[in-house]
Amino acid sequence: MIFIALVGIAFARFYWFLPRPTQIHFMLAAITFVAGAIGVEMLSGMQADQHGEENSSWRYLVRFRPQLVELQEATPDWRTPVGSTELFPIASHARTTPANQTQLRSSHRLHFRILIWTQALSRSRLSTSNPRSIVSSFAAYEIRKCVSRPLKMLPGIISSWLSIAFLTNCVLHS
Amino acid sequence: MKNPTALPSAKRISSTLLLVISTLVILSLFGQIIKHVYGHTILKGFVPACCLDYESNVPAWYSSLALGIAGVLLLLIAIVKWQRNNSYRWHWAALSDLLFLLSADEIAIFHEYRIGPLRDAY
Repeated sequence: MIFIALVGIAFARFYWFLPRPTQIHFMLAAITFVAGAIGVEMLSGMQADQHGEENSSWRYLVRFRPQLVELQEATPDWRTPVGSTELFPIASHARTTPANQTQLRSSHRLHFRILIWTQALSRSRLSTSNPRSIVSSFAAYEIRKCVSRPLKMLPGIISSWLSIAFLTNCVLHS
Repeated sequence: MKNPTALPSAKRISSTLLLVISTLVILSLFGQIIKHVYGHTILKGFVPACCLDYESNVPAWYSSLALGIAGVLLLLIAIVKWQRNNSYRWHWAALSDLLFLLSADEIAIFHEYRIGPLRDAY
């Protein structure tokens, strides 16, 4: 309890300086997570002590806890103070124009990537004379690509993984 | 044409995650109905694979993955804050560590290790 209080004090100032929507999402996520992980656990414990584990009320409580914990994971606030413009400076400056739409279709090719880098650099406030700034911008662009692509693929990955897991379990338990 | 460098919106990501969770909840409920109403406790592995209350199955994997992704994003923020010498850089790094720890716990189930000794003690 002392440790939790110390952590709370350490994060109070940090929390206070977050943007208002982030504060609300942060608090909602924390309440849902704690309510799911500890609150429902306490209720199911009380129920089990009084009436045993083999009854429908206890089972319902036990099933409810992981649902709350998973719901908490769906409430992230991606609009953090860093934001896309700050974390990925090139992404906020690189814009598509009708002239380069044909090249956009071949986005996996190196020449397109160089085109985007050049456009981004010419439009951004970054100093082209500073090699460190250029390298960090390229790195930020590549990181953003690495993050956004798996996110777009996530539903597909999950559905295929579900199929594989289901089939594997069917084979193992049959 | 869509800008290929645009990040997905927070709303869209939340909707996708909620859709995944809804699917998992429906599958789990379906499994529980099969188990308690029709008496098939395993059903070729479907019931344990989709039950939200069990460990080391599909919902646990999703949970760990979501926490891990959140940890990576927080780590990216912490790196940027560190480069800018921001006064809250430690807080972002600590949050990232916490999320990675929760992600590992979801799969490695560290929290279960203490159940036996605690039950013996009380």
